Amino acid sequence: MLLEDSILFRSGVSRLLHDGGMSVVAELDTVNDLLHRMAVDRPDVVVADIRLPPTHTTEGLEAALRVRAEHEGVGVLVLSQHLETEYAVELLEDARGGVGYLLKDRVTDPADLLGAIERVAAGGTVVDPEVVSRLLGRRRRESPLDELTRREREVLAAMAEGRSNQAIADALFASVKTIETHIRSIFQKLDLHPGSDDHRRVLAVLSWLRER
Amino acid sequence: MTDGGRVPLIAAAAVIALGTATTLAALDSGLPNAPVPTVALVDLAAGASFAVVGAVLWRRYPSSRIGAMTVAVGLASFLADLRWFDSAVTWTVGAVSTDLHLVTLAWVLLAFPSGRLSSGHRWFVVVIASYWLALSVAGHLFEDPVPGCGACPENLLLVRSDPSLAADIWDAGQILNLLIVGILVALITSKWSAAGHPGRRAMAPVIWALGPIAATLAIAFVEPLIGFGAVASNIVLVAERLALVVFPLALVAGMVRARLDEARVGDLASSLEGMSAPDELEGRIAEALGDPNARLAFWSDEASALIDASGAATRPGVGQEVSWLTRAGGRMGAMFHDPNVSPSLVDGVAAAAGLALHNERLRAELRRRLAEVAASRERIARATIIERRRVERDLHDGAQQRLLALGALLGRIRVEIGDGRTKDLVEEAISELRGTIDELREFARGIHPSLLAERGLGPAIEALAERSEVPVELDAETVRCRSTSEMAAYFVVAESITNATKHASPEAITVRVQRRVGDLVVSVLDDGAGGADPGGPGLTGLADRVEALGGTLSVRSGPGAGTTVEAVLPCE
Repeated sequence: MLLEDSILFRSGVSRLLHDGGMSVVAELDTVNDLLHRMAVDRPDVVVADIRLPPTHTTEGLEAALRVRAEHEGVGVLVLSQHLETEYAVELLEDARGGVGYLLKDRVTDPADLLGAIERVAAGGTVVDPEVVSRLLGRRRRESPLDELTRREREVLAAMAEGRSNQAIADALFASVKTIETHIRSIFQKLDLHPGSDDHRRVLAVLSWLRER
Repeated sequence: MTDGGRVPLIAAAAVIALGTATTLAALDSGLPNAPVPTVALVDLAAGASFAVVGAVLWRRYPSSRIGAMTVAVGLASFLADLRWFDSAVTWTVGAVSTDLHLVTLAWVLLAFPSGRLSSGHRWFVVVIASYWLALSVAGHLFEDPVPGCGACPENLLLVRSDPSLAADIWDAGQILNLLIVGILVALITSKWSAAGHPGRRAMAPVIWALGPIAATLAIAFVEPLIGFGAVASNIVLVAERLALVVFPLALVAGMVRARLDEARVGDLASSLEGMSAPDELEGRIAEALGDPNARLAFWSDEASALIDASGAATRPGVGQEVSWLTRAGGRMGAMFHDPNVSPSLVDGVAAAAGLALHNERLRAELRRRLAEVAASRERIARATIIERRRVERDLHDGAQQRLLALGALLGRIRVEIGDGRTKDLVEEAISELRGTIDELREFARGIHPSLLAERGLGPAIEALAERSEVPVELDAETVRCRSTSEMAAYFVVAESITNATKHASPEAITVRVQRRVGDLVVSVLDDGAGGADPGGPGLTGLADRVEALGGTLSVRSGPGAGTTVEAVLPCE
């Protein structure tokens, strides 16, 4: 299900998803329409623009949280013209998994976008690499991050994007065991106590990065 | 002292001469109803007191008619005594003039202190004067001989002798007298309650002095009903005249309290010379007018309106009179004051304050223009923000969506085509497109940071810190203020971080956001090279933005001591 008020962009995304073998059950432009249609269309995932009528501010964010709260098992991917770590954290804090926050630019890489939708549908968490790199790249006077090795920083970034240990291992051409070792080391160096699931791990890492 | 000329003195002397003559005639007449010597002398003293005091007031306050009117009361009191001369004409005039002094006294009371009657009061005085004349003449048409007057001169008015008709007329007159006294009391009461501070100050002694006169008149009224006997009756007469002897002094006291004109105007003129704070002018004028509520307004030619010292439009309060102030034929301004302030005092104050008024008016006009400029600057600042938001919206809904739709299309093409030269070209196109989208995004953010409006200064500055090349420490209270101030504060922080990064190569930058009473205070401190120029175009632009909203921008920057930029903006 697509929620986007720009028809041009919405139909572009719709075709892209169709090309990727997904079916778009509805293309809507307001939060009210979405909430009405949820029960009828029973989508697996809602892809929503963050900026929607009537105020064109963060309606998409509130819609995502309502869908997550009211419709169990439905994933929500929020797309935005520009990214704010503020909104990533707000979304992750309240949604308890099954959410993603991506830059609209990701449509130029359909495989990336389709992958993100699948991960969200499966209850995973997706954070745009742009958000993570901005947080990691933020200049600080002194930071425990300086103690991380290059490899550990790569693993940290992948974790923050919401990747599972298996996905990180695949991406970095390493074994899951090696990745787990890196992760333990990272948590020790950052004095971080992540939660039991992937989502809490993402949130913990993002919050940590944001507060330092 | 103002010299009212010789007329008052001559008038008073004539009245006293008449009084002396009539008194001597009374004592000499041998008529049975003539006054005993004590009563006659006190009578003379009362009339003389009015004449003398009237002459003094006449000379002292030539612009007020009160002086002349007071002399007239004295004259009236002696006219009645003409009847003691042994002549039919004087007897008739005197007999008819009995109690004329009470009519003139009522006239004085209603006209006090300005000497002018309001139109309603003028009617009343005309009515009672006519009534008095009619009653007096009517009675004498039938009364002869006057009871108790054995050998009185001839009554020229006599038509036929009918003592019982005459008695009926006098009785009816007594009842009408009561009615008139009642109306008079009501009029004086309403005059008192309508009077402002200066009017009441003047009326107070006169009203007090009326008490004894009213009391003796009341006793004189009931005396014939009860019958006191000759001695007691004479005592009442003496008391009544004594109350009249003292009464003119109350007029003097009232006039003095009402009209310290020259003194007040003089004080005003000398106090204005040493006046350091021009805002005091209004207070001093109010003091000189004796009206604490008096206000000063200046005429603004440009706004065609009256403005106060701060430059804001103003109008008189309820019940205030407007006296225009002019200079060389043009309007300078106006005084709003109590209607009871005498016109001559108003003129005197206006003249004394002339130059100071002129200066103060220029100042008020300047303040008005400044306020206008400030308001227009704020409107422009507000309009700019609305305009920026609109441009950002247009970009977001237009060009950016088109580019993103193009991105989606290119993405699909990339999936469709296999490897090879075409794919490389598509990849290149996508990369160009993403560069364009990025640039446009940064441009839009610079025009209007939407996070600021949506989440406030803290998160918006946090986002600035994330992008900064220099470590930024943020110490921000959660405050929400009016959007124009938040916007200005945001730009101060954004510009200051950019300036510091570009010119001062600091180790770190600290940003503070605080709420201080009604103000939003943002400060940006860096530990860089310092030497920022507050007069440079960057900081001047920031200062303009902040000041347009009624805020202030301060910059402290010493070589090697870092730079601190602080903006204080109105929050609500």
